[in-house]
Amino acid sequence: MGEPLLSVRDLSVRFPVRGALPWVTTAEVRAVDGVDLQIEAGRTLGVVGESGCGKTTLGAAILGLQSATAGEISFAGRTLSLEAHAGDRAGMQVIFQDPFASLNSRRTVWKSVGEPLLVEGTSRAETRQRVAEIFEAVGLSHNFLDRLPHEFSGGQRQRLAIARALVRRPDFIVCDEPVSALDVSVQSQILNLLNQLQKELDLTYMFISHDLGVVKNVSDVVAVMYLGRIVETARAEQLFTAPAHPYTRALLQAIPRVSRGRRRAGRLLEGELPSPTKVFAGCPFQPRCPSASETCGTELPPIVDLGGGQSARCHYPGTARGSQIRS
Amino acid sequence: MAMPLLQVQGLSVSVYDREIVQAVDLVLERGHTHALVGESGCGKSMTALALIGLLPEGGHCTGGEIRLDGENLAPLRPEAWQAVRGCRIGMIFQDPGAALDPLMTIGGQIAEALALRGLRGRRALRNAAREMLAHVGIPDPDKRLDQYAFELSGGMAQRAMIAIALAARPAVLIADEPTTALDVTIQAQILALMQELQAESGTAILLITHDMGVVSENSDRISVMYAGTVIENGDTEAVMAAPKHPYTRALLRSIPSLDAPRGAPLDVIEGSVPEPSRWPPGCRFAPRCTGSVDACRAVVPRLEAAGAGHTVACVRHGEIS
Repeated sequence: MGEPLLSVRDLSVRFPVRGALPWVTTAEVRAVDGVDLQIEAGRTLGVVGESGCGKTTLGAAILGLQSATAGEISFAGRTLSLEAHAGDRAGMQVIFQDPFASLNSRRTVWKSVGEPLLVEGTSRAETRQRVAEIFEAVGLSHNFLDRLPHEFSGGQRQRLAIARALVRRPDFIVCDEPVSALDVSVQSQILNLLNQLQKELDLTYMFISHDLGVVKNVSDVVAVMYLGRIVETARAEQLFTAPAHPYTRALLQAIPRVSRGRRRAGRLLEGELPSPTKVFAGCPFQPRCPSASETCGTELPPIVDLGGGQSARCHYPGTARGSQIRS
Repeated sequence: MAMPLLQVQGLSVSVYDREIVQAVDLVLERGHTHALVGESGCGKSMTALALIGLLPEGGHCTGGEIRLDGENLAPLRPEAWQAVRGCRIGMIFQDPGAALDPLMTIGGQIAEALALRGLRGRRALRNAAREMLAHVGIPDPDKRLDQYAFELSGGMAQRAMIAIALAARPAVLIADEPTTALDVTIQAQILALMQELQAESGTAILLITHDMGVVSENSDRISVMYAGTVIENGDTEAVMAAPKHPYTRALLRSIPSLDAPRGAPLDVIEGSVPEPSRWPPGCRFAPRCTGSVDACRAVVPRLEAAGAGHTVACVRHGEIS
């Protein structure tokens, strides 16, 4: 097993909720709550979960776009600051979801893509040259250099966003829902491109998505988040064939699949995500869990190591009790 | 064969003289779900809006018929649509946050729809509205009646919108991407709810979506749209198992499968969907099709039979399937 490029220990991000008096904190949102994760160089960690589970905040804290409340982040042997905008995230980059919002609509695209180099003091000619090379790598014609963002389709814009992420030759890229805004036929082009670039440039990805099919296609290891915590981590194959946490199983069952045909009455996960300010004595998934016991309501389950790189935060991981909802 | 509930023939829609939908045929049967599928910009939402008389400014039907129980709705004036919309054809929109009235209580909005059905009296309306909310699985309906849209979660708001749409007992329900804004576990709940309600009431559902998984699990028939036209029709199971149009086939293959290994290259469709003003001559998919020949660019393909209840608009469907 290789040395992890990124290692996160017990990371928490909490937001105060203020009431009528703005200086009084009435509650706290635990957006990220005690997260541990490691990503080996050249690999992809997929992070999945439903909206509000904290996956984007986790990515933002790692990138230093969001201050973390507690924990430790180390990257390429260095310990990073938990403060936002500390200026120590060299080697990290990000690709956002919406390629329509993430490009300056009034700048020609070569300037948007090459901006990091221009800021560093690279000459215009050299920057343009480098951007043209990157354009080729991401499948854009160098004739596009002087165009404005509105002249590009959604898929092309996402290629521009990838080009911008690559321009300073990063080691690690956080991809936050990079294909969610795209149509499936275009989505597959971008996923293929990300996989191909990873091989060519030895990139390490943290790939955040709510779409398990997409995550399966790009990830070596997958972490499933629920209410700010990672509830299961496993090699992708393992997670999709033998999920250990009841929430992972429920998610897998809820995804509509072409191969399954007309839906038969299946067991659905009931209820919705509780309010993020709610503090649970026991397992946060317990109110919706089809196989919760009394213990689940009172004790937070520990992270149970199941071997083979799989671990789950559940009192009954992968057991008969936990697998009752399997179809 | 009995007359279908809703029959659309040769429907064309233009917005400011730009053709967006061209000669679309659809048939909806009672108690069945018909899926209308395609990528963004293919004209599926515009088709839906035409069916309920809600085309945006500048939009109008330039041709074709929309027959509901035999009556042609296409030439109706806006005032006449009022008697159809909500009562005979209901609609669920994608984003409940945007579709619900922010200044009216949920109960008030359901009561409005119930009044369309002729129900009168404050108490009777309130009781019926409470029943509707309970019916769509909203817990504590008494409290929810007096709440506003912003006080509901996405899933709850979508349930409330379904309650509003079904309150007047429409014969046809159009659901335009009803679960796209929702998380998968909530999506599964909403789709199951729609199926349950359909089984009770016999409502015909036109399900508009881009998600092939949703189509496969929730519809009986499917029409696939590309660049303003329907390019394939059939029983959902048959189309999913053996798509005849190269576009449908490519679309299905480009979906990342949970069964494929990590990094398995996905099939791609090169290029992107052409804009309405740039529709190519001949087959509109030809420039992106790997199997296109000169004939494809010369002739506009018509829908031809390709199996029982299966039609496809591709001049080469016999050769390349």
